[in-house]
Amino acid sequence: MNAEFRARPVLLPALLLAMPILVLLIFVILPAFTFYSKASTESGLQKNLQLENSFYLTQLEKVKADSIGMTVNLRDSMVILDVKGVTLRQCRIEEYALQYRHLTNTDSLAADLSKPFILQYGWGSTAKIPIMVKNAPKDTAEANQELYQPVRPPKKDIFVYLQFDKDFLLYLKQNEPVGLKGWLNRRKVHFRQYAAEWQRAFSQLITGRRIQPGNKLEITLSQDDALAVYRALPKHGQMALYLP
Amino acid sequence: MSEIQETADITAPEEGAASPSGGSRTALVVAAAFSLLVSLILIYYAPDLRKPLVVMLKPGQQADSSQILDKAQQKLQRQVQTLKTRFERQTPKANYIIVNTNADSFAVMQGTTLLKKGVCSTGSYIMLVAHDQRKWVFKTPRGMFSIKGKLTNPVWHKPDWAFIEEGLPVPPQHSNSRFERGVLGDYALYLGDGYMLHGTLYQRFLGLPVTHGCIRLGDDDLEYVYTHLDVGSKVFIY
Repeated sequence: MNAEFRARPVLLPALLLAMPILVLLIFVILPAFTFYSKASTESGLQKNLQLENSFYLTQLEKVKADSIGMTVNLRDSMVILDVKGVTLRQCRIEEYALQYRHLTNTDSLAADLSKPFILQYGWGSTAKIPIMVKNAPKDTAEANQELYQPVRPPKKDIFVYLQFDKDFLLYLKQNEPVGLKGWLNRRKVHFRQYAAEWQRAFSQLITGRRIQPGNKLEITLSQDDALAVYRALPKHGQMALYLP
Repeated sequence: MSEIQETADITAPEEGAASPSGGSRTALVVAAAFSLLVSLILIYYAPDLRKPLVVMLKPGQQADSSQILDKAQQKLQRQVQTLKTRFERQTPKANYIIVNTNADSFAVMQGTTLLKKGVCSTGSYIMLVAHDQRKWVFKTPRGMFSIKGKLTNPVWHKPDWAFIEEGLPVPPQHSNSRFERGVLGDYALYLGDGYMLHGTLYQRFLGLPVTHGCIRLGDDDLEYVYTHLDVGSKVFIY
């Protein structure tokens, strides 16, 4: 009982003395350490490694499939068509514009990019499979009359939207300038996209969710490359994205 | 009085022990005020005080942090390297062929090295509609295939559409009129489902989409492909 009474006068001054020290610790020293370690861990090298890690994880996931996939490598400005790790075609990206939600948060971004994007549907200014219908001739005479002169189909302007999962939209457009017909075709393709965006915003509104734009990547390729990518990618085709 | 005395007796020792005397109490109040003041000043100037501390910490702390960070980065780097190696191992070591149906061209590859490239013919994308409403779409399938068999001097077993396309009556399955020699060139490499890499009589159409789904090659290219690809070799069509 006496010891307790004697301790009190020591405890109170000690607490009073400790208060500034605690304040110093809580408000100055610890934040300084935290700031430093946070700043260090979010270095560019770390971010690059995380993204590279995600990229190869995605590529290894992609090689499990037998169908043609796509790699969009913004670091090297390339779009690559590949199957099982074999490069089928390399297309040079002339220009690109990216809008992505998690760009500032490396961890979320790396998690997002560590699995392939799966193609849901797509539409474009030209048919994915350009089927021409031919009715069978009645007899050999009619067959002989049909003088078939094979020609390469004329080139068409290519503007393509590919909607992937994870709310990711890829817009492929040709680098070559277009005429009036091409311009109208492009407007038509865009119009469908606008309609889809409005529909999306409306559904977000009525379900009480926050209206936010989706992830979008716009890529400019040569006409041949854009067509090859559009036609080669099958339904549910996979895509890896490598960000700079 | 006795009650008061009793209370005093009870409280006196507590006061004497727990509470300091008048002078020490003043000192305690001053110390508390001083401590509070210092604390408040520290809180107010905390952001400014942190800056030199961060700078001061850097040489020593940087070494510690960067060591930890280096270790984490090295681990991640090793992981990336492992994944990269695993991915690069996917490329076939054996020869393989890539066919581009958009440009009607092909490339024979070994790993990432190009061995030969040239023109070919692929599916015409024509849909043939018979009088009985049967339909055939003449397109070359896309994706990954492998060579199932190799033939020299192949004989073509003409399917129904070959007769319908020419306005001829369709013969029974094993009719002799279904077998045609020489039209597939000297070699054929079978891919399955009726699709083949073979030669052609119509060399002038090479580079154009004219076939019924097979891949036609020129005579020299066909010989090269035949000799450089084995059964099991991969065929990639896009």
